[in-house]
Amino acid sequence: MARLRKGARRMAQGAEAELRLVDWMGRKAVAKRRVPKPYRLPELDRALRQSRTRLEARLLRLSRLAGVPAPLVYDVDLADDSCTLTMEFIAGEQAKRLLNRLPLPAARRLSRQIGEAVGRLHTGGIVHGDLTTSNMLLSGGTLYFIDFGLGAATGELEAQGVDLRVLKEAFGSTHAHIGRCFDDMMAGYRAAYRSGAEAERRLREIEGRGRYSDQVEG
Amino acid sequence: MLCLGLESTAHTIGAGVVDGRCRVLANELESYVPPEGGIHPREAANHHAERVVPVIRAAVESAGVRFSELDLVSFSQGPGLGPCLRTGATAARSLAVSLGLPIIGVNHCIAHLEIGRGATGARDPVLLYVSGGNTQVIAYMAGRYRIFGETLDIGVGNLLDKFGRGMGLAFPAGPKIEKLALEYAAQNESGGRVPGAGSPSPSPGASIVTRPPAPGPVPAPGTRHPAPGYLPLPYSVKGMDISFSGILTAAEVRRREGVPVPQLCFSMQETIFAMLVEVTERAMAHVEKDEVVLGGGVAANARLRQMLGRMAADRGARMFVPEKRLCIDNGAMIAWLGILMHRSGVRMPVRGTRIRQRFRTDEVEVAWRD
Repeated sequence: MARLRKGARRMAQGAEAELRLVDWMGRKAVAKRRVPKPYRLPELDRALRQSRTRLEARLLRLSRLAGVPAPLVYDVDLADDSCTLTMEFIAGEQAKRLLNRLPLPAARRLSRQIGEAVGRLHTGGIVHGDLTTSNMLLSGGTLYFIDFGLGAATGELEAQGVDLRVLKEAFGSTHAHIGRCFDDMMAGYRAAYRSGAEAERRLREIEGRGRYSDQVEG
Repeated sequence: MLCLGLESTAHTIGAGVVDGRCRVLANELESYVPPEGGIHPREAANHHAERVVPVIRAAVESAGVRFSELDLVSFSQGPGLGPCLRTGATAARSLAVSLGLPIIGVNHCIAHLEIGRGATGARDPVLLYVSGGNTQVIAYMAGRYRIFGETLDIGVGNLLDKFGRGMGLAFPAGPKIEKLALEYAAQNESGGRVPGAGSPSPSPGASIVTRPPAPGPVPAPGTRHPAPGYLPLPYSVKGMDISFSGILTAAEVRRREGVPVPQLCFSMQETIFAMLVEVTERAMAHVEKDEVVLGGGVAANARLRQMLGRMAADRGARMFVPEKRLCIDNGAMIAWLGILMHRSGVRMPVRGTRIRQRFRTDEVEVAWRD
């Protein structure tokens, strides 16, 4: 997946999309273009890129409506050779870096803030699909979620459990005080999402399945 | 070092003889073909029990070696069908004990990957492993072969066979589907082009959105004549995983609506192979590897190779496909993995060679790579 790294000052190229820093009517903006894949049939390729661009625009909007700040979508261009989403550039610091450098009490507060945001997202019927701490940016005290490219508008418990699983992996792989921060995150999650405890049970069930047990990050 | 490997996870009983430099001295196999319908584990196991001794003898003979020259016996410990696995395991134990040789049970999926490396020279590839029962994207990371993407329901070969059965094509349906799809693509001008040939120009007036067919009453056969060309079928990629469950039902509904079988074969292939290549590309980007190996029985499909090869070329990566007899289930790959494991110090008492029907790829500690 394409991902803005280090504030996106340079172009990024993922498996599916390329990111560019652009000027949009005098504002700094990010243009995410889903590039054509010549290996698949052109009509299938076009349909996929268009529907995914559309879906991502929708998820960004739904996320804001659910009370989770996300980049504002400036423009959706579905022309075949384009399939580009132009959105607000967030000048923030990745939660991943913050959790590593902040003193424990502040890291714990941020973790709770992350949990509450994920809880609101799931309450709003959205799963992110790639819920790592690199996809969360703190800007002026506001926590933004970015890159909904693998997301879905669904209230399925299984999808929520997978979201939590990815997030847990992100906490475990990069953050030293994993135990306490993760617990704070989950407490925030349960406080913001009524079915939070149920989703947490599903997370444990998923972890019990062969593929996920004893797995390092990845 | 000479190893005799026995394969018996599903419909194939195979025996291969391989040396310490991955030279395949023999690779004999026989497949159980059910008179109709799908594979019945017990009947396949009976077939294997009858054929295992002749297949072993044929392998040793065509390798030009004597039984006394073998150093090791390996066999497929899993994953696979219980009765079939037990038949192979029993034969392997008997052989090892009677010859006084060490025995090693190996993971079938990892054997596909290792023979891909050994036979093609790929060093650190992502493997797209596509067979009847298995559909996985595997890569090496931190001491294990990890699964980065897989089917959430059935294997792609299984899907093709089930789809083929519904279309009146006999087992194994894959090659017949491939042929019909290719003929359809060649004949059909309005729907596009021969896959891969020419430039990817958009087809006139096409406005296609991938979604499952709308629910509702099914018209009588022949009452609807869909536009020729690619027919959208459910495309289900979830992160790095894929799901085939909806596509089979959708295809059968379309068939009842009167869509010709070749058009369905074409659309089915284009859809599911695009899904497979997409998750493979995602895994390659994720683990930052620039080699991909295609393995498993479905690797024989030329269209899948073409698509995977194009994806690899576009990202500056290389694709490797072992020769067909090393792609399908075979004993040589089992022998080669046996050698790798034995060299790395793995030893198994006969007691420890119980079969494992749900043997996971990522359970094996990979001691033979750094």
